Amino acid sequence: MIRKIVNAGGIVLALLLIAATLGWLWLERSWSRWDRPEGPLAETGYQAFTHGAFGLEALPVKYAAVIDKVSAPAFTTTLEDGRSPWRTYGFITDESGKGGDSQLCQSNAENLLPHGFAVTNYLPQRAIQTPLKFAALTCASCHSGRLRTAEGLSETITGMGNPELDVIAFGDAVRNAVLDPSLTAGKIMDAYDQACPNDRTGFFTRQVEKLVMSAWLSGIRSQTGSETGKYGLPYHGAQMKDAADIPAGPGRTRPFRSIVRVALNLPGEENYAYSKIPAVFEQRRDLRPRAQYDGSVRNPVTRSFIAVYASGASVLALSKPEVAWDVRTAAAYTEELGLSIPVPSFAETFPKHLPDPTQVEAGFQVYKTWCADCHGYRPVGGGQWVAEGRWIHRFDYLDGRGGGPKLGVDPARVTFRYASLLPLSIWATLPGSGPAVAAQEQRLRDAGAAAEKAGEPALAWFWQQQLDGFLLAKRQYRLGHPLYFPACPSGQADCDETKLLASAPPCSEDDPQKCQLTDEVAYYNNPVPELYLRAPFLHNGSIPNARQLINLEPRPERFCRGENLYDPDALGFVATEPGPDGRCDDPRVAFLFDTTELGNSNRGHDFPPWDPKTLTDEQRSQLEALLAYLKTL
Amino acid sequence: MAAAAPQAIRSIGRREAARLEAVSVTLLLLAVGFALAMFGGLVAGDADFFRAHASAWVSALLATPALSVFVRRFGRAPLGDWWRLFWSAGWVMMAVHLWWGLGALHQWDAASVFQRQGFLVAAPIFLIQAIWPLDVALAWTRRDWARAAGGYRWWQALAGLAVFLTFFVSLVVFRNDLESLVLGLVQAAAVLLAGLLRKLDREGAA
Ligand code: HEC
Ligand code: HEC
Repeated sequence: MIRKIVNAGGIVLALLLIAATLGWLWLERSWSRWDRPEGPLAETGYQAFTHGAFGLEALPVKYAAVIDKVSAPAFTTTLEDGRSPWRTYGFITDESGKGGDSQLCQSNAENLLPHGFAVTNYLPQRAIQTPLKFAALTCASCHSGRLRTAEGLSETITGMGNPELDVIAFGDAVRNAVLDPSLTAGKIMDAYDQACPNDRTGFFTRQVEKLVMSAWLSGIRSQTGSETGKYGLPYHGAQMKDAADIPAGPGRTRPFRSIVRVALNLPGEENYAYSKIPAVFEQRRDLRPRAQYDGSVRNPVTRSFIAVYASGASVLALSKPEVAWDVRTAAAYTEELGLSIPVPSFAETFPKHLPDPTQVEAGFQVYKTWCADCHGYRPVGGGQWVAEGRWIHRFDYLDGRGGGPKLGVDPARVTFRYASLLPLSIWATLPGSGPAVAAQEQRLRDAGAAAEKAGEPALAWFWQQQLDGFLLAKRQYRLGHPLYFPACPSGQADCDETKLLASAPPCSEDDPQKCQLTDEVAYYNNPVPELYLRAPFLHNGSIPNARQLINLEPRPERFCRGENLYDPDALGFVATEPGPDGRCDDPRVAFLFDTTELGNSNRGHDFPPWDPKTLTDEQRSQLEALLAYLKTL
Repeated sequence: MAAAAPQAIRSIGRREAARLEAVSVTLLLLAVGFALAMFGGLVAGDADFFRAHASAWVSALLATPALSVFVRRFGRAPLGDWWRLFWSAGWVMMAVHLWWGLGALHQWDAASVFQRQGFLVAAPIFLIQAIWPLDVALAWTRRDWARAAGGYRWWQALAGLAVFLTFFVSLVVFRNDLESLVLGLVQAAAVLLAGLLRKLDREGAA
């Protein structure tokens, strides 16, 4: 009898467990339901660019709602000066004071999270979907911004780099917060319930959320903890705005340090490649055949893949159909943004500062003399950018190879250690299908053999590691990773993928222009449309405004960065001067940009090569005219 | 006479209880294996990838007792409840494996499996996806399932062999990871042991 009961009990238990597992799988399907958006690119593209899922989940929304309550020490910089933590990191928040003090909750997260945050239900890295909502970065977190002028704040402009964003500091704050041993899912949930008493999450969902939050927290804590050997302990407090600690500062990141760490698993401490978050307008391939400051990437989808991969998206997350679609659509959007999708012009943003038309006309002639060869031009009176010129779409080699005027800008962006390992590694990060996957494997083997032959055993070991990783990934993405490249466009029957492989690393084309990924020690001559939205200038953001860029005024050696004012007349930012003690004491403009530091040089790009201190009147009026024309670009 | 009836009933009762026990044990193992394979995916790096693999591992584990019983008893003694239950549970997990392996990793594109794994690996996998469920279906519908004769007997032998060989090739020969190799070797050892016991049985009987 007892035996019977035990057995019957066993059967019931087994059936319950099976039912529970099936139930979970069924719920998973409902959590991961996704319908591909339909509509014109201006809408779907904007949607993807600003609200898409890219595998950049930062925090659970319920945690984001209470960071100031449960993780204040990790997030405060002591330089808030009355600002919210989000705004202190430079995210785009509502400063109108209207929705000012309403509490962020899960129900209003889409509206109250800073602009450019998406709400997704992907778990970071592993990309499993659960009911727990995450606040996630998108392209727009970095590539959207506003201009602060004496008259007020401009609209949010999609596609310009956010000049105030301190994304590395924010990353450190998150790492700091999750390492906190006293932080628990229960503590977060309790604080959230107090802050958002009207939240209507059902009982079951809540339990699942708590479970998932707890799993997320312990996962990210152990991951962050295990990486301190590579990344060090995060900075906190005022260190976050101190160039001695986080040298990137507002509006810049260190994407190549990240990619060296992520793709190569090598340390990036000595990487001084500081990149200004660039404007991403008019990326269409006829205008901009290669992207990034060094022209290292050809395909627009690959550009946006690298962007989010460097920002921390996992290869796995990027393989999810929704994420891959967002990456593609955001890329397509940047190709048309500024062309068929309008971007506000200088005149629209600053109607009170219109340049004088005769000046513009005269300035165009100056521009043609000094600039158009490298950048092409936009006809006076508007119209599409004309990508013609002697040097446009060429690599400007640091060593002067290839001829052309000498650029002379800071070299660190293109000379960092391990740069030459990147093309093959990045390419093999996304296993292809068919001929591509075989070629990837073979080329990794060849790289190892070549290193051995060249007498570099450690490098041979490195390629061996890359190969091991690749072989695992190849099993994982059996049909090829959805973002692998170079791939034939779907529906193009006469395209032969084998032929494309010559352009894949190590590229065997005779001309680097034809290569998918390059590591040329060069900067690339590209158009500069919407020039007024590109300040501070150059790849490292070392020149605050265009007056200084064209040598109408001396370039400041040291200036303060943060919430700088925009000066439409100078076409760029007001370079706040450091105080007498050499420090940036205004908490809102607290980062000291010192152009004498490695990677920060503001030298070079001296076109025309005139000394601002000894300008003749004729030169001065030419440059004033040039400046007027630049406002129309 | 009067005492015989209750005894017969009692023996039927005991058989029932034994059957119930077999059902509850296999079902529990199936449930736990299924749950581990599915929920394990939440902890693993790549959920789909883990689930596809773990379901195959659980299938191999559940098939192992069935294969052992089969090798020891086939043609000698009735195969019995344990064989039938484990054999069925193993197949259930193989179907789960199909769902994740073909459905999630290959997006139901069967041709791509051949492309990716080559004909020699892919063909047997698809073949047992047909043979195994058929054999399970026969075991639950034919009266002579425990003591098959004639063509059915050949069929059973073929099905058992096909499943065993497929596991052996994909787990041991291709050993994609340590887990697979260990499981494959355990299964092979168990089957080998059953074969030895079968030999001993005969010698003992002789
Ligand atoms: C963490 C901030 C960040 C995020 C998020 C981000 N980017 Fe970028 N992006 C950058 C930086 C920094 C560069 C400059 C890289 C360099 O040094 O060349 C860049 C470069 C680019 C470029 C090349 C621009 C040029 O002029 O050559 C494109 C295009 C681009 N990003 C598009 C995207 C898209 C699309 C997304 C979303 C899928 C995205 N980015 C997400 C920071 C970001
Ligand atoms: C020899 C080719 C060449 C000439 C001539 C040239 N540029 Fe450039 N320019 C470049 C390159 C290459 C870069 C990118 C360098 C960097 O970011 O460090 C650049 C950067 C810029 C930028 C900054 C873009 C950004 O997003 O920060 C502006 C603006 C610009 N140039 C305007 C001009 C103007 C105006 C002239 C003429 C007075 C001019 N350039 C002449 C090659 C040239």
